[in-house]
Amino acid sequence: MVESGGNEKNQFTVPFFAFMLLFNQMVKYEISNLNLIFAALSDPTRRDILERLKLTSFNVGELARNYNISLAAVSKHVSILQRAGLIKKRIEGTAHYLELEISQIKKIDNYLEQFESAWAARVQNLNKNLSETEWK
Amino acid sequence: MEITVFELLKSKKTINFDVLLKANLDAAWESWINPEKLAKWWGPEGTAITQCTVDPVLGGEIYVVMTAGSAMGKYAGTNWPMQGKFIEIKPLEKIIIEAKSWTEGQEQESLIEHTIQVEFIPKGANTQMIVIVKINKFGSKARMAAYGMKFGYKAQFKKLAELS
Repeated sequence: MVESGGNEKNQFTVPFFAFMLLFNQMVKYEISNLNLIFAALSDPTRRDILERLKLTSFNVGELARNYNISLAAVSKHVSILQRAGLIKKRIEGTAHYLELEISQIKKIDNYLEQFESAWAARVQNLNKNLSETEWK
Repeated sequence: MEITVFELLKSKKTINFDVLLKANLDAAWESWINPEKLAKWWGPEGTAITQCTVDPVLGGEIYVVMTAGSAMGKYAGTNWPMQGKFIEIKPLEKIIIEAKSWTEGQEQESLIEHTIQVEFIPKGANTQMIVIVKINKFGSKARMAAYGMKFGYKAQFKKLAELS
């Protein structure tokens, strides 16, 4: 909560203009990836795969046993998740294990966080503007 | 222990502010519905409001364009419009705006559709203002509307799967 007057808490560490520079860069270079992420997350089977990978790593064959679809179908879901950068492959000898890629998930979080920062700056601005204006 | 997808995402669905404004109710209300007053606080440091129209009636439009100033270097001149419609308006009490914001020239990729709810509660000479910004859709290509209503509110993965 931001109090009016002198006890305002600084809720954001990045000045707004710096946030906007970051925001614009993110928009230009990372939005297509964010769209891939959201598209990947829109399917319940793929979300289930992510949830399982949260607990431990699996190979595709082990994952496929959990679903009533073909191995090829599971592989396709895995490919979509890989393309979105949500999972990665770890190779141990001849075995290929799938693991969750947290950094990509955090990317969505960061993007939406910047939208939140914009609003925080706006509300603080309003508060400051009203505090400094004499009203009849 | 790794953070789950949904623990990361859930907090970003709705943005809440609860502010005690050092202004009376009329002044607080005017700040939102008067375009000249709104333009004074909508754009933070480094930006200018280059367009601002507000039609504070049910179904009326609000349109605000924030433009990056020279302090933003090569991004100077970038426009960030917000276009909205008043879907509820109770004078001196409540505003609900259905809006979308984007970066000009990148509307498809950067679009965020959101609902802005503002409530005003008089507190003596001051005004308590409660702002709730709810993100409904993100990017026109991503089907967040179908998925997005599920993520962010639910901590349990199974509940999200059941909603699909």
